Amino acid sequence: MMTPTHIEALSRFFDGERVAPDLLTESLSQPGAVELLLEFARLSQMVTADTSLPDEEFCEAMRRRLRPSGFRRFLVGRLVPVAVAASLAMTAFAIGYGLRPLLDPPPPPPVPTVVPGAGSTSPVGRTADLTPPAAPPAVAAPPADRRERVGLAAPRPADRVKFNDWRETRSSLH
Amino acid sequence: MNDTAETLFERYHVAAYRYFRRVTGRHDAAQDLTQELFLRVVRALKAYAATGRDAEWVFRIARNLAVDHRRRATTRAEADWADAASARVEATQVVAFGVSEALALLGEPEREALLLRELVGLTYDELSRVCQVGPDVVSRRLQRARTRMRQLLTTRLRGEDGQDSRQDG
Repeated sequence: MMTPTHIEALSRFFDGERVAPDLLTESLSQPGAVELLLEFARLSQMVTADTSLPDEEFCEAMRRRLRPSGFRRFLVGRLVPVAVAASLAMTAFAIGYGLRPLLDPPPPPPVPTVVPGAGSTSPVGRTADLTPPAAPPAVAAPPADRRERVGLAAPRPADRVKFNDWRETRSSLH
Repeated sequence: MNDTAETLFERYHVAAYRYFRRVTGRHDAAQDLTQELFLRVVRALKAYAATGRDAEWVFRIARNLAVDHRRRATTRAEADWADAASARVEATQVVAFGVSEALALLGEPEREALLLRELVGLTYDELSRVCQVGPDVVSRRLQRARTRMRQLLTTRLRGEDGQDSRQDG
């Protein structure tokens, strides 16, 4: 009776692999053993009888591609567009950053300025002012109230003291 | 190793194409997988230099490609191809199978062992390394594959229909 062990031994024998001699003897002595080997041979012939081939154009394209230069060309053909796109993107990025200061200049750094007049009336240390510089004061005469403070202003008509007579003045004081 | 990718292509592209054609059942898919195989060979060629067993190495990559292909075969044409073969068995119980149909009915481990053995000529040791199983497992897979193929191809294997030499895609 042919068992799977016998079939396996005959399969190994058919494939040229090592088989224990005792097992091979036993397997070959089974009824149908020779027919089984013949079926293996036919099966092998049927499986390998496939004469289909890849297309000749396919083979030529593969040969061109697999030649060292061909493979390099193939890689270059794939990599160059990617590299060009990447470099264009980086260039555009760099140009954008490079042109930015020209297109949009930053504000000038703050310069400490002395506000005229602030030092005389302000507390100690309040001479520097970071506010944008105001328009310089006109060089004209100081304002009227300042002239008054320093005694330069002409008395207003309402402030004028009219001296008619010194006696009258003296009596009015008492 | 002094072999270039082009040399390996000349040596193995026909066997690889026929292996893939048996696995997928389709000419265009077989060509696509053959192309992918040799592009991977080119990329891995330097790493291979120390091993020296080119057929085993090339067909290990081929086998992995075939396994990946089977896993992601979403085009139902190929699955239908195997299903149609199954239906044909159940419906008619005839034995006039084509080799491709019979192969499609094998389990994947049995089919890959049989194809790599018959089409490529790998030894059991090489098959065990390619399929990452022990040589005894390879031996049993081949025995099961041949037993199943005998059942499916009985008439033709016994030479009763006189079509042994018929070309079968």
